[in-house]
Amino acid sequence: MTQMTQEDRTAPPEDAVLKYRAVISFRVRKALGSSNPDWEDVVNEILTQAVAKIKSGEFRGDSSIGTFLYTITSRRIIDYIRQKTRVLRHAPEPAPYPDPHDEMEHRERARQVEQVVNGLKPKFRDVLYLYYYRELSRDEVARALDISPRRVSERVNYALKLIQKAVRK
Amino acid sequence: MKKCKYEHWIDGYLLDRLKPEDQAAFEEHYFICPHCFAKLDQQSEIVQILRKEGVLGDPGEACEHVHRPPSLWRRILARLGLKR
Repeated sequence: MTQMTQEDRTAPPEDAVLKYRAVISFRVRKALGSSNPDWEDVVNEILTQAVAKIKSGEFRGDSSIGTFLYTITSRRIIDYIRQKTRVLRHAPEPAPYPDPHDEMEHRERARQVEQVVNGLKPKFRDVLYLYYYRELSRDEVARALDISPRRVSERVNYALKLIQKAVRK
Repeated sequence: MKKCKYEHWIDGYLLDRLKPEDQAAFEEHYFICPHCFAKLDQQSEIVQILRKEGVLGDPGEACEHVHRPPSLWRRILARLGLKR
């Protein structure tokens, strides 16, 4: 397991923790839903809490900083869900306004993905359709198309590689 | 780039198909593996687009991107007992 690097130990706690903003944000959005308006606040709370714990000496570097932040993140998510379950019984929240810049980038990537999908041979599109869109398992896709599950994986992986290449930032 | 042994969990994680213990293990792992996290981050958006943006079609309507009509898929899946 990766331990805290020398650079992480000597850097101010804020710098070491901020490097993990993207991964913490991903985890929080996955757990709370990316349309949840609270996700950024939760991420900021986690970062603040982590910096405070490092400054107070609670984190001694026995584990990696990544593992330490994973633990704080997981606990905060559980707390949030518990709190929210209580609150949501009374008042559901309105949907957030999407960021226009993010929205534009997302649309552009969706267009790129669509272009690749349209250019795929039908046997690849069929697999993507059943696996991602109809949400069948690999075994179910294999039965539907009368091919082996291994062949399903190969086709999914091939199509994903082409798509990833097209949308690579 | 070197392949990580956890990489094969990315798809299952994004589709919520991992066992709870594997999901927790993978979540802990990508906090310490920049390679897996970079792949996860990119694949996440692609999967989201494939699932939600109409790229692969709407089974309720005829769609130009899917060469077989949705009604045909429905019949095939129903025959196999796989209708969702």
